[in-house]
Amino acid sequence: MNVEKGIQDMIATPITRRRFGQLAGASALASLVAACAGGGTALTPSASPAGRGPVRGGTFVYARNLDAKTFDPHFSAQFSERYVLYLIFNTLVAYDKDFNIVPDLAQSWDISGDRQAITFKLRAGVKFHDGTDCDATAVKWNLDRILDKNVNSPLRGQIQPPLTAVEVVDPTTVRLRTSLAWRPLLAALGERPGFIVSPAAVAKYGKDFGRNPVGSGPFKFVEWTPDSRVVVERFEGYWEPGKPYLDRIEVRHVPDSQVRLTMIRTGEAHLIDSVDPSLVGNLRSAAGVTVSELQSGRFWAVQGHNGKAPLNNADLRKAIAYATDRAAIKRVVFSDTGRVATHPLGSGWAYDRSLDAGGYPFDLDKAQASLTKANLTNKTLLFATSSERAIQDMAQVVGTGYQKLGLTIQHQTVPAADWFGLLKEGKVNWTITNWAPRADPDGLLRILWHSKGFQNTTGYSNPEVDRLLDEAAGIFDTAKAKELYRKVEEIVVENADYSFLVWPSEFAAYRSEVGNFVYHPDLILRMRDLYIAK
Amino acid sequence: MLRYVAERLLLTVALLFVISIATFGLMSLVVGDPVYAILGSESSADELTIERLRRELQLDRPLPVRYLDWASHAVTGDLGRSFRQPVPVRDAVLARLPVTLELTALATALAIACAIPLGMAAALRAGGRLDVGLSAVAAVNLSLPNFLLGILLIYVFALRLRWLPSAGYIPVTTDPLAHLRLLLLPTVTLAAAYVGSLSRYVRSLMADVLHEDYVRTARAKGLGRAVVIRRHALRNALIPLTTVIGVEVAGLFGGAVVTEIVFSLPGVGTLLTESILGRDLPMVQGIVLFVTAAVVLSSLGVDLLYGFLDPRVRMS
Repeated sequence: MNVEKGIQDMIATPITRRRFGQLAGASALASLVAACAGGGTALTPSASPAGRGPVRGGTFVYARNLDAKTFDPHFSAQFSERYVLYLIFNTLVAYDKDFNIVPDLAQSWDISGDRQAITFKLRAGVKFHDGTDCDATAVKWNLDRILDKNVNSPLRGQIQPPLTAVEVVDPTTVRLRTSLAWRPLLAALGERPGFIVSPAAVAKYGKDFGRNPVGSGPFKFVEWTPDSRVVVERFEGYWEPGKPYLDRIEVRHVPDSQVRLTMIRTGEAHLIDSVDPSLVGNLRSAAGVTVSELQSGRFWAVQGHNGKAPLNNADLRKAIAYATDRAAIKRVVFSDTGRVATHPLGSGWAYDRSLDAGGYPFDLDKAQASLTKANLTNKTLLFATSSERAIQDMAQVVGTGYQKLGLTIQHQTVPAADWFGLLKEGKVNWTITNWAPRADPDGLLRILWHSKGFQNTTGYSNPEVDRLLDEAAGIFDTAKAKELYRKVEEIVVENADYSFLVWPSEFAAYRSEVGNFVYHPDLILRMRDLYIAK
Repeated sequence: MLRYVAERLLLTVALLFVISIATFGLMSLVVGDPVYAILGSESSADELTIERLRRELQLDRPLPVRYLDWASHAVTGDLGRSFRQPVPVRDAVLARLPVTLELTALATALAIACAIPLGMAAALRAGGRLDVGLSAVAAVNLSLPNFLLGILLIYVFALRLRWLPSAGYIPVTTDPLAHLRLLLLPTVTLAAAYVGSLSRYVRSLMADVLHEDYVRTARAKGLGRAVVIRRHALRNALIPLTTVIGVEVAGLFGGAVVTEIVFSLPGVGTLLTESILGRDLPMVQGIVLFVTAAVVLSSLGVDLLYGFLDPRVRMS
């Protein structure tokens, strides 16, 4: 279960513009898209410049808004930290472009007959950058570190309860025991809980490990100047033969999106992402720049609380859902890129295309009929959204539809940094949100719609949904699990506490001499296999 | 003299105290619960972890208690630990200070170096083409916001002409030339507005001085025009200018915040912005203290410099 918050991802990157706007009213400089974890299909296949194979050498510069706090993966909570983590560390398992689980440190794995134990066979002879062994003992030490209540890792909730014990079988075999059959554990081990750090280095640096990260990944840490740059260089003792290709990678903190666009055009940066859809056309015509589009599975939605005003009235929720002009949002806010969203899962193996045509199509007559049924006494409703520009634009568009029904919308704007806290405290109850897809569909559906989901901010509680989610999580056969997730989606879509808007496209741009670029479904660019053609 | 300095320093301490209460109050009352902002954008922390963090950061204690606790440490020079980064506030600010100081010092030097000759030339030919032209340029400079000018400069010099890098920072110890190339555009951006306002000051101060009796006397004595301007007029005109420069230091810092963000410089300005948006209360508190102290002390420095430049002030 990849439990991270998509909406705050959104805050993580575009905060630049907002930050900028707050300081200087610079909305003209703003760009739109956030780096949000998403899943989907890369429309641009990985490229190989001029058809030649990979070459070794070179310093690679990646520019983004880097709001890193720590590079200790077990304490990491910022979206942008993961770009660097995947360079310095290996995970137990990895994801392919459809979120299927593939090997990384673990070469293979077996699921026991009762489905309550997973046994991993590890790659032999892997070393950390400090020369110590990355073996079964190290893996156990890492998972125990997350489980240790005294360590207080924010990741504990992602793997426990089900994970009860980690056993070393032999130096290259480690077994994870769970209290029940639980498929999402595998996916979690391709993400933060699966990063394996050097136990010796943690002992050496203690609390400062986050500033001196040591892993087994293709690049070793060189320096980090907060709010400026992170530098990593090739680890000569890396286990994958011939890799990595690059000598050095610099991740530059460039908060302003216009400056990032300039840097890719001048060649000062080899790669940027989170490119505003409205600026993509401009970049496509720039010499020496290749643009890559990813149809992400991140969803934007209007969410309302089931138990609190104004949307505690089910007929009002439906009226709102019918009055939401998704096509207009896509056109106005996303420059007509991306896809109109109608249900929670827009990517990954559980994405069910047959649900795309369902939901609540834009229909003002049906909206009006639902509104009549809702029998409102007070037609003035409080709609509170985060101050980010893209969200403000969306609020304008959806608000127009609501007003056509004769509703008076009181639109309140709250600072983006406080928005999520206010939502959790129940002070914001009707708002615009976005969520990134997880490698395992259980992640998103459970945290949002399970009655005990810890990001369940709509007060949704349905025993049938709880039961379906729990049952599906125990099924390792993804085709069978997918059927149950389809039922969950149908139920929550019908309820309309979330009115889905758009699955946006995400854009990255790289210099044409860069090879092996692949857009990953969680949007974290794995730069470990890139090369620069001579 | 000593007494005067002591009084000013005491006043500074009182001011810092008031400012710290105001910052603390504003940051704590205006923003919501900072825990969610602190936990980060992807936290999967459960309620237990959140409560624990709240206790750890002492956010569960009443506001006055938290302030007194902070203040009693601050007096000893301990500004607390950042919520956002695993470092003490003082270390973080001190690490960033050199970048901001260098940027503001370079910008001030550039602004003065441009403003004095321009202002003088305009004063000597008041109403002339240069004078009118300068007024226009000054007006544009003053009204052109830093961030826009910064982006325009990047567009012209980095993207179109490819003479300079667009943004970033390299420490002077790593590569002095690259360091200066990266600082050039930010310096010009920050200095631009001050060239405008300072040159107008120089012009009007100079114009006043040129009508003084002693200038006429000097000319009547038979001294050359250039000598009179340089030795009599300019020196007298520059004395009030030091005050103007001292006063503008505060404004310069505000400009530095924006300039640093545009050019991705790791100075106090970016740190302040990130900290405000990350709801890092101790860091904001610490930076505000540092900046307040810097502004107050620089104006004290200017006052003392005044006495040095003008013996009449020293004697009275």
